[in-house]
Amino acid sequence: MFVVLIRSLILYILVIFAVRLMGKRQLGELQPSELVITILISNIATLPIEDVNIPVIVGVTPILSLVCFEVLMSGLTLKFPKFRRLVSGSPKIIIHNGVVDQKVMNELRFSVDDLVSAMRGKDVFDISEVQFAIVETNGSFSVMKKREDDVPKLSDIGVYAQNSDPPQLIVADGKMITPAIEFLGSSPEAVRRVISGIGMKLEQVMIMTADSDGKCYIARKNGGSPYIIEGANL
Amino acid sequence: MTRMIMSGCILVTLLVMSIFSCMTVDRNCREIEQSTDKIWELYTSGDVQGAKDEAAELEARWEKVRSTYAVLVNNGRLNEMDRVTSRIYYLVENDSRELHSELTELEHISKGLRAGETPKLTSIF
Repeated sequence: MFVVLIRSLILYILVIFAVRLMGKRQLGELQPSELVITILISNIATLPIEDVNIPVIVGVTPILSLVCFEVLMSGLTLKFPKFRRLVSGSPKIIIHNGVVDQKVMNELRFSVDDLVSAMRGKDVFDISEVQFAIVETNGSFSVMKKREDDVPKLSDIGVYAQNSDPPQLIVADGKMITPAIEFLGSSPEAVRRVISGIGMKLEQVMIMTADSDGKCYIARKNGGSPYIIEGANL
Repeated sequence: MTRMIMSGCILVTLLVMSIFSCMTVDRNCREIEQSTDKIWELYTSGDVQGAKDEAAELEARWEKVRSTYAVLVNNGRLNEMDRVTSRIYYLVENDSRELHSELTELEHISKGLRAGETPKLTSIF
């Protein structure tokens, strides 16, 4: 029993390491080869956990080697586009100029229901609104609406808007998040000054966000309305 | 790039470990097979004491390498080896008729163990 527990811990750490080694891309969108590797790893990892007669190294070797092959393979696909097309395939245009391509649908084994469902997933309920749609190599669906049916942009209606980065979380549960403060080009002292400016201590702050324009949002731990400060000197 | 370098290093490490495992298992199993032949030769030539010494040496050698094997090879196979190697000495001592079949079985298990670790077309596919 204890052996199984230790083996489970070892393989848990190994699988976490393997997923981290594959990179962030793995967690969000799976390419065909990544999907295969993920399924294989999950199957292989259970073998040495269940059967104590199998040495851990016999489970570790295929997991590590598969992940390493995958990382090297993704490196190669990055360098050689032809190889990438061979391994991952290429995106398929399924609707062009508002016309559904039946041939591509057959090629992808995409039924009409699948197509309508994928469009609904993109908040498109009327197929006549679609100008262009593409099925990506990871199976996700991208849609471009016809200009007359699309949401107007600010530039379309002649409104000028300045681009800026989103607000950063700089204090969480009374603790400063130094990398975020540095990202804003500020310092912990400046943040402390802003907090004391509204008569609070750092320990009393639950959430504090700030953007590059100095707009701060400060929520207190003991509840109550949050403070919103415009143009703070951070 | 760091990930690719890490992957390359891990693969090289695994390759080195595999080669080490293959060579270690192959060498030790060959020694065991030679030892079984020697025991039978000594036994049939009437040198029972020599056969007993060789059997004791075989058992000791197996005990020595077993812990290394436990990390590399499925335990089921090792248990079979354990069972047979521990019997050889007593079979020689008691002048048992089973000795030859047991030595043959030991040689067979050893060859199986070796084949399982050595990459050949037959063991890969």
